[in-house]
Order: sequence, then structure tokens, then C-alpha cells
Amino acid sequence: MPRDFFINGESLVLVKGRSNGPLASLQQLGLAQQTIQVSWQTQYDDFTLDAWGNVPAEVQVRLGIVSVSMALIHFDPDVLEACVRESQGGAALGCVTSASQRLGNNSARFSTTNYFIGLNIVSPVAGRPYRFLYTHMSSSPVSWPLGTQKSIVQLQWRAIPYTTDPYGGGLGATAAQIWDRTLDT
Amino acid sequence: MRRLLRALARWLVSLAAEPGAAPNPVPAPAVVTPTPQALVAPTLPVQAPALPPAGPEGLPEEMELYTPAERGIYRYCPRHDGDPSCLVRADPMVLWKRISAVITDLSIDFKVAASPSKDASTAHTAVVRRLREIFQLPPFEEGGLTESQCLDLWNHFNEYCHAVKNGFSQSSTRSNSSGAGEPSSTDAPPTPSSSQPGSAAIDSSTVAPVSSPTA
Repeated sequence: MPRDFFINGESLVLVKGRSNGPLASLQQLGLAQQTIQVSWQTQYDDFTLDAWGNVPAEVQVRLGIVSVSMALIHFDPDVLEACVRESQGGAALGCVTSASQRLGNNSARFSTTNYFIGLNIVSPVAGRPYRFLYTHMSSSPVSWPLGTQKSIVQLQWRAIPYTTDPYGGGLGATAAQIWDRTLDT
Repeated sequence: MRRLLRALARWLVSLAAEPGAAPNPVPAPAVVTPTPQALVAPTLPVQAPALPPAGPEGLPEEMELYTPAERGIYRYCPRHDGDPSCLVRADPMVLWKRISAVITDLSIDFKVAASPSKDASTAHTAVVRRLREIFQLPPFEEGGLTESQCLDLWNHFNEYCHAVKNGFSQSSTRSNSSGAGEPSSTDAPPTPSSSQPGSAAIDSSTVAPVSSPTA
């Protein structure tokens, strides 16, 4: 079972999105001073049987998602704004997107209708980069002012095991990758 | 030349101490700028013996409450060409208060400047600008420090505060520099060329009562 882990700070966070959007090229989102927490949330279903009482007779893994929490002490507000818009399916600034707007649109990564964001984290301390392939911001950024000019922004990301073929060509679902160590270019 | 300057300082102090003189009887040493006319004034050596002896800061001895080491003036003398003048000579508590006012922004700029961020260069410039504001230094073109020296000054002051915090001293006895008129080797931190940062020799009597920088 995967476990929660931390990416050592100070980490540089970069993002990349669809090819015709504001994140078409790899953009520096900001610098995280503290550790970045990566939480796996594996989903389970219990099989309960009358013959087996109130405890599960079997457990079925129902995939899972990953939450990434970070606090940026320095960030690019334009890139952050683009991330917020892309996480709403490409909504215009100050607008919500249309109801039922999908993020993946059954399209490949970085295609023009795929609004998932590639979240790249470079940690110079550990020297082991992380790339979460399909992410979106799961909550609005929270910003706290620090001092007179600076502010820190707290971000929550959600990475899902997205695929354009969840049925595996009719053979059933197969494993999907959530993150790897190859940074986007 | 030094003897003449000292005599001039005594003379100025005596003038200020006379009844009906200026309300501030303690002239700052930095204000004493001898002019060629003053240096050749023939009456100065004659007046000097009648005055109370002056301490190294130009004050009468009865007003010398602290030795130079006890005053704990922070000094930074980066010049290596034999010029003994210090570019920074300030009350460390005043410096600390200036730093405290911008420490959050400054620390963030330091981190960004040291990161591979695209804004690292901008942050480095901001760091140097803030340091020059804290230490009230002009740019290099106007006689101040280079950017590298500003960072060295920052490290030097941090080491100075670290030494104060830890109560570092070379001796448990008080400095014997009172009335010497010249800053002793224990009064000022060494210049960067002669020692590593952090090797500032600070008298124990100087660092003992200072505890605020640790906050």
C-alpha cells in the first residue's frame, strides 16, 4: 500500500498544461520552502456477506487519488491564475466554467482539450524530481500576507490516475500511473 | 597629527562645557572635522593642559561611563589597503531593529536568490538593496560596497550577533582599553581579510547585557 511522504524543500514547482493554453510551455509556478506533502488516498470497497457477519469477507481496491499540499513562499501570480483557470476547465478569468465541463475530455495529455495540469516538483535537497501527470487544483489558493510585501500561498492539488481508455480496450481496467520522475520539458 | 586631533577634540569639549555654550555639550567625534586653520592654531596646546582629560570618544573622563569595548559598537572595515576607516560603524541594536522590520521579506528574497527560480536574479538585487538600506550604505559607484561585499557584511554581522548571543569572549576580565584613546584589538571585529567570518573578538563586557538579538 502506498504511504504518505514528503518532498524535501526547498522545492521548485513547475506546471505544464494543454498545448493551446496559458501553460503550453513549462512554467515556474513558485518556490516551496517547506516540505510538500503527498498523500495517497486509496479507495476500498468491502464485500459483506450475510454468512460473514458485519465484517468484510473481501476487500476490493477501487483505485485511488493523490493529494499534494504545498505552501509557496514565492510564486508567479500569472501562472497561479492560469492554474486556477485550467482547473476549472479553461474558464475565463473571474468566471466559472459551464456545468458538466470535463477536464480530460477523453483526450491525450497536453492536447488542446485536456485541461489537466502536469505538476513538476524539483527538490534540490533530495535530488529526486516528481512529476504528477494529471492534476488539478482541488481547492482555491489561500494566501497569507507576510511582512509588508511578500505573501505565502497554500495550494492543494489532486492527482488522478487519468486514462483515455478506462476499460482497457474491453479487457478491464489496468493500472494507471499517477506520478513518475521524468520532468516535463 | 593624531595628537593634534585629540587636542582639538579636548578644546571643543571645553568650549561646549562652558556656561552659556550650546545646549548639547557632547559633540560626536564624527563631527570633528579639522580644517587646516584649526590644525595650525598655536593656542590649542596651551589650552589643553587646563582641560579635563578626554577619553577615546572625545568625552570628559567623568562622562565616560563605558569603555569602548563596553559600548559594543559594531564595525565593519573591509578595506585592505591600510586605510583604517570603517564603512560601517553603528549601534548593533539599531541595525537589529532595521533588520527585524524587514526580516520576513529579506529571508524570502534570500531563499529565492539561492534557488533555481527565474526570479533569482531579481531577488538577489532586492537582497542587496535591503542590506544597503539596513546598513545605510551607498552603492559601490558612490563609494559603498560591492554586492559581494554587502553579502559578506551580512554574514559578518550575523556572526557578530551569534557571538553576542553565545556570550563569546576571549577573556573573563574586562578590557583594559579605557582611556587608551585608540581602539584596541578587542574592540572591533577583525576585517574579513584577516579572519574567517565568525571570529569576531568581542569583549565579554560588551556582549553580556545584550540579549535582544536572540529574540
